[in-house]
Amino acid sequence: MDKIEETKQMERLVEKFFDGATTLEEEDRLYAFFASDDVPAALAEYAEVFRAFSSMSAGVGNDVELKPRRRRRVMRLIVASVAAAVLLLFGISVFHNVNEEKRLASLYEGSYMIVNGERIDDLGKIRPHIESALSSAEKIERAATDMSVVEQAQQSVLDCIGDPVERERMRRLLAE
Amino acid sequence: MIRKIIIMTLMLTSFVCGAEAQNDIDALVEKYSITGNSTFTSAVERDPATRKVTKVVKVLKVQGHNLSKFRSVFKSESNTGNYNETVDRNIATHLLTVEKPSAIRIYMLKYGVRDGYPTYNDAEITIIVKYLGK
Repeated sequence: MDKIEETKQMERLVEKFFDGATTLEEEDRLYAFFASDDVPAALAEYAEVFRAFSSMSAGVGNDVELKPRRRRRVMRLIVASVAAAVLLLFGISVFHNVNEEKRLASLYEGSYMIVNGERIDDLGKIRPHIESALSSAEKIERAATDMSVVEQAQQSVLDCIGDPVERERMRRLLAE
Repeated sequence: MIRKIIIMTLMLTSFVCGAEAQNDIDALVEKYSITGNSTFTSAVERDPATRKVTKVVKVLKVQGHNLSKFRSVFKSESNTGNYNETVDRNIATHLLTVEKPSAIRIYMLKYGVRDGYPTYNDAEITIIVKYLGK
């Protein structure tokens, strides 16, 4: 294509550009044309402008190209973080359960229940019943001890009474 | 010589009878723990540091129609230890404490009463064996 023809074509494209009617390919042609050192004098005044447009569109194009890539990287990071958090929670839960089982075994291993003929050995399930039984046992032990103390005191009183008739009368009195 | 043999035999017999008397309550509890319509809990308490057993508590809850058997066995065992019967707020309690060098055994029977007579609602038997670590 000779220079004059090319220049005329470029003039038309420049007009089209400023009308906002150029395609991306036509714009690329314009940027490449004005990026060269051999710009015709008739179009020299536009050279600076199109070189500026060219650098801006390169930046925009890169941003547009980066955004999906950045978005994908961010998404990957988020998914990895969530997965790590879920794994950590799962690990803590398993560790806690295993520790709890060991703790119950160290306190109550060997305990069990039989309900209507069916035996239950799961310490986690029967723990409330175990603790209730042990708590009641403490109260019974205290009652047994108190009773023993009272009876011993009564016996001491009776031992001090020499007269057997009087001792029997006192014994009945204490028994009421 | 014959006197010594008789005394030794009597002592051995009383020792064996004493052991069997405790076993009667334990045996009855064990029998009713595996039948239907009862709830039995055997709680073992351990020292968490050494895992040695310090106490065993057995609690049996049975229906009232079995009460007479337990009352009878408690009364028959009453001379094997320190025995006491009390009634407080319509609850009758039989308490038997047997002390041995190695362990203290406490047996308790609890049931409802009205006007001095058992109501034959559910009864509860508790056996506590506390080990003395000797």
